[in-house]
Amino acid sequence: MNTGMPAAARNGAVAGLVGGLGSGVALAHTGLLTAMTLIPSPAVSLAVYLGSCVVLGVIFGALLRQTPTEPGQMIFWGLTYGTLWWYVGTLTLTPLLSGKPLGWGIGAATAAVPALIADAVFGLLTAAVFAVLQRPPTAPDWRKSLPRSVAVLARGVSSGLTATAVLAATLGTVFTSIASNTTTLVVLGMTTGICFAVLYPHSQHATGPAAARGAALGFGIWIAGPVCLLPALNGTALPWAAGQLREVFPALPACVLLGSAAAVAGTWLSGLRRLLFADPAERADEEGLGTRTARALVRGAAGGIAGGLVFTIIMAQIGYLGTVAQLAGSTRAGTGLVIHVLISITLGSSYGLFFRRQSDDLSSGIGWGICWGFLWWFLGALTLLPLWTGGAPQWTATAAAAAFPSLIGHIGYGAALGAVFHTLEARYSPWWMRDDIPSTVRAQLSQHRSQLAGSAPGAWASVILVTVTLIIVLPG
Amino acid sequence: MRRFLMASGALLVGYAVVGALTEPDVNKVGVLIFLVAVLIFHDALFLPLVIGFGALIQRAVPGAWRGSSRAAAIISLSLSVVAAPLVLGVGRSPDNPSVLPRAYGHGLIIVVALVWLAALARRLAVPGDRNRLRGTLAGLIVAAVVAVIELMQNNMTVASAGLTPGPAATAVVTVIGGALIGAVLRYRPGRLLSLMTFGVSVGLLWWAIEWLTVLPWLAGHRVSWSLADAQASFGFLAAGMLQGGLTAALITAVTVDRPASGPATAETAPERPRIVVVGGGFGGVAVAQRLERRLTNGRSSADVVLISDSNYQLFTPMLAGVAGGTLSSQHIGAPLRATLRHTEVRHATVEAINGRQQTVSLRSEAGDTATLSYDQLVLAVGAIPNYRGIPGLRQHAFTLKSLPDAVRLREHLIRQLELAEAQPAATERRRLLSVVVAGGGFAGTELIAELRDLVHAVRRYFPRLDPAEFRFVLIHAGPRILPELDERLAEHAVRRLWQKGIEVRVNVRLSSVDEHAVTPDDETVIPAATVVWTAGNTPNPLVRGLGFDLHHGALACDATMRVHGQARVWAIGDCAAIPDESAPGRFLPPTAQHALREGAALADNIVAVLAGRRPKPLRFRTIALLVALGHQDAAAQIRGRLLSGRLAWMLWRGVYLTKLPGLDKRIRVSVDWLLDMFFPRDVVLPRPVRADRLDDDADDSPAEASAETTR
Repeated sequence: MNTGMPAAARNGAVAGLVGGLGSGVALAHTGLLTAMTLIPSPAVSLAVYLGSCVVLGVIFGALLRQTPTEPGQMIFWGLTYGTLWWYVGTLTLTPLLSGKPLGWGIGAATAAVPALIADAVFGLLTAAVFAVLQRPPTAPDWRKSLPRSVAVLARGVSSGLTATAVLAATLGTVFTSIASNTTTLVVLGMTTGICFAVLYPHSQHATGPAAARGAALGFGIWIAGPVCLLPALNGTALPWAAGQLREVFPALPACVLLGSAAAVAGTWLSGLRRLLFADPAERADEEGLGTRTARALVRGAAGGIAGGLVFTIIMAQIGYLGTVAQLAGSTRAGTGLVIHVLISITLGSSYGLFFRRQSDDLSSGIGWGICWGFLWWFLGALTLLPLWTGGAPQWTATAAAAAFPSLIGHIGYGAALGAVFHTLEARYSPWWMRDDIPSTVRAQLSQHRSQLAGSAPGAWASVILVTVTLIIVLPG
Repeated sequence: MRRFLMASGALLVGYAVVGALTEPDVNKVGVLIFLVAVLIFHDALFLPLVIGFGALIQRAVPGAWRGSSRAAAIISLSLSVVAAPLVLGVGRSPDNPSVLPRAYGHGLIIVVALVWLAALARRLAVPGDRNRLRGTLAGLIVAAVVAVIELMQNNMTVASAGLTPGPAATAVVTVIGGALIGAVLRYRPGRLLSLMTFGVSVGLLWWAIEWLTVLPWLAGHRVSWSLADAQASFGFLAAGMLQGGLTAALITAVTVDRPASGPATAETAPERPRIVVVGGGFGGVAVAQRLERRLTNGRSSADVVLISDSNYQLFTPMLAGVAGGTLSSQHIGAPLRATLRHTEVRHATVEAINGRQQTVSLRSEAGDTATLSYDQLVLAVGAIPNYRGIPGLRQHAFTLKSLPDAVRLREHLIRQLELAEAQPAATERRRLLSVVVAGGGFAGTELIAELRDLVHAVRRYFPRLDPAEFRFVLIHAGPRILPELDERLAEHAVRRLWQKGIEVRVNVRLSSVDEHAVTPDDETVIPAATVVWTAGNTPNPLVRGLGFDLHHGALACDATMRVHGQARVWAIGDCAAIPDESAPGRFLPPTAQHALREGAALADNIVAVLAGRRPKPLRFRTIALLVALGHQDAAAQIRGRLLSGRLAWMLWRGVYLTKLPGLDKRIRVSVDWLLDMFFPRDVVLPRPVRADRLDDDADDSPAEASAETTR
């Protein structure tokens, strides 16, 4: 995708208008718009809001004009853009322009939670519309595209259903309670799977990046489903205020895990198809399976140890080692430390296995690493640890707030893991980090790099930003 | 200088001893215990920790960061060890409180943090990386602006009052963070959004470090990473993310129109020294590998070129295994291109070297010629068999210097079994079944044991052959075989060989060899169809034509491995005569163990010379000597300790397996050994035994073919 600036700005303006309509009407419906814009008249405030959305859409179009990413993947950039705009616009520029102090205090931020949701909705809608408008105007060949689309949909449905079934079987009512009935749950699962399949119709990603992107998709599903569409369909008020949002918070970890599981299932299905039917040359690698797996495991373990050391400091300080020791039926810190180190190494090795070859600079390494840490905060600290120590998953906003030190630990763990793993991988000058490669390989490299430079940073940023912001702001 | 220091140390020790003995108040037992404890503490704890740290940094840290990281790690460790008793409160009396403003542990952490900050600053201050300097400055500017804005936000400073020691400390930490954020952000074309999002993420990370960790800790607030602290400093989270994003934008603005000075292009790259290594054996590969580690930092600070006439490194200690049929030939060769990822590997033969113009002339396998200039040249071209002018030896004897040698020898031996099976005449059959190996060193001893194992492992396929007709003879010119080993161990080896039916004849030299028999100088003719020569090598003939100083045909070097009279030419391995510093008048032996150590030391010397320092002489003592004696038997000498039998055999396999380059090769060889334990050896002959082909084979004599390969 590489269109001219005027066309991109025009498309961005239209996309911004549509996005603004979506979020603005919802805000107006809940009566929050006038408070946000500080204009008493609802009509004028909506007009001003839409005007600002058009400007934001133009900026979005200009920024994303040359970003080499598949159209569907832009959704993550939209989510990131919306969340960032909440910090820049709602908390900073709006107070400044209205002569008030910056809204950087926790009180102002909590009061501005509806705007956070509105900005996220705006970002998602703007990105989706912009992606559609930016598509080249070619008539689709239905004879070719129809079977492909059916295959993509089938993959999406099956991966979504599989993820839903696995999570429901593993977690029980904690997971199934995010929907009012089984049908809604199945629809939610299928929608998640289809969304990922549509976003990545030609998915050839590794498992790790797919899981991270799935987590980012989970945020989008949470906002679109439990926060917007499900209340709207049920005829209840949109739960966008901080207090109301706390009530639907338990659906957030569920959606994130559902998104990740569906993405992983979809990716594995894709991989299975390639394994069975694709040309073996397509799967050829520069190293044998044994060598590359062993190297990935060892490098990941080294990164896991480094990350584990960072995490150990936090664990020791907050006295969390005793909690971890409960996994082995003990309460001793020493036992907890041993278990923590083993978990760090295991997660590090699995990171190596799933994120091999996925970083071509330090930033991408750290980005993936933090995503992995976040994912394991949801899956480990909030879900598996309580489950394996005899309790139930702790998915409430209060429990998440109590686990905030663990979140910081997971961020540190992931950042150190990603940085060390990338450094060890880069020492061998692999082909995807070199410039002196044949032109035929360069095309493959270009595709690989465009994925890294394209949707991947959007996915990392949306995972990082939305999680940290919500966890801090929601408990009040 | 060394002696002076030793003498000074001895004097001081003497003074202390006299003082301790003559002073009546000194607790002599306590002093003794203290000294022993210090010794144990130093040797058993401190030294291994320092060495471990150094090795870890050497392996894991990129080249350019190693120096400062190593210095910081050693200083931190030393400080921690010294401060440990104070931090732990060993011997502290409650009625004697510390007068220091903060706890010892906190003070130690501050000092260690300062050490690492200094190391970071030292690295960032290295001239030449303009992008990093630019990024650091951009980070500083943005951080200064953000710090001022933060100070002006009264509500934020009030909310976070308990988390920080004061505005000045906050501003300082924020500015330091800005510099760090700017230093790690690097603009790459087409990655603007990626950079900005990474900037925002790094801003978030720095917020966690600054506001949830460093500032609360400096303020004496409990560091708990709690949500309450996060909420109290929420404004600074927003500020940190904006700071990261703005720093990324500023870096992009000041970098985007400038020529890239990060990844060097052919046009912009400064002239880098080129180090040319000739030879792909143990020595050459060891040099290149060590240079890769020392000089590589994602991108290399020197060009390393390795020229070899084979595209793999041969693991010669296992050649006898290939000849004996226990190992597949390809499994003991490591491809150079797989081993050396940062080295340019040229598959070519060196035809000439011009020391004055500093050039090397090459001829590729296709016959193309090329000339390559060098700044430093390493010659590790090895040796070839020396036939010592013995009549018929070159034409009728096998050697064991290459993979084809080993494969040819195995095939020849299997073929003799086939021929003997069909041979009705007993005399001729006994000749076909006789094997003579000349040379009782490691290669010859291991080879004859392996060949004997091969023959006895497959003889059940040849039921007409009488085991009594097999004959294996090991001839050695010296008074005892395995002269490098301890005499007792050599005697044990001889005993074991005799028990296996191998004749060991010492003080015997070959007089002549023909296609039917071997004639030693004691005139006892040995009819034999298989003769193997492992008794002598001579340095590669290439070194003779270079015009450099020679010593017994090898390049005369000083103890730093530099060739006499040549400032930029170095030599190691079998082609070099390197004085042994630990035994004046002697030279380092031509073993793989020494070549490996010479290679690593030479690479260090080249790095030192490139950095303007003086090279160091090599000092190396043999660690262990191992010799396999066939069928799960071996002899080993480790730092003077002797070992034999199955344990020594396991040690032999274990040691050589770890030395084998490449994980895949280790696994392949392990699998070969495993299969050999459970299944019979193979007797497949790639070429059929037919009379019309035998004439061809006779023309294609083993040594001629071997010489061709070596050339």
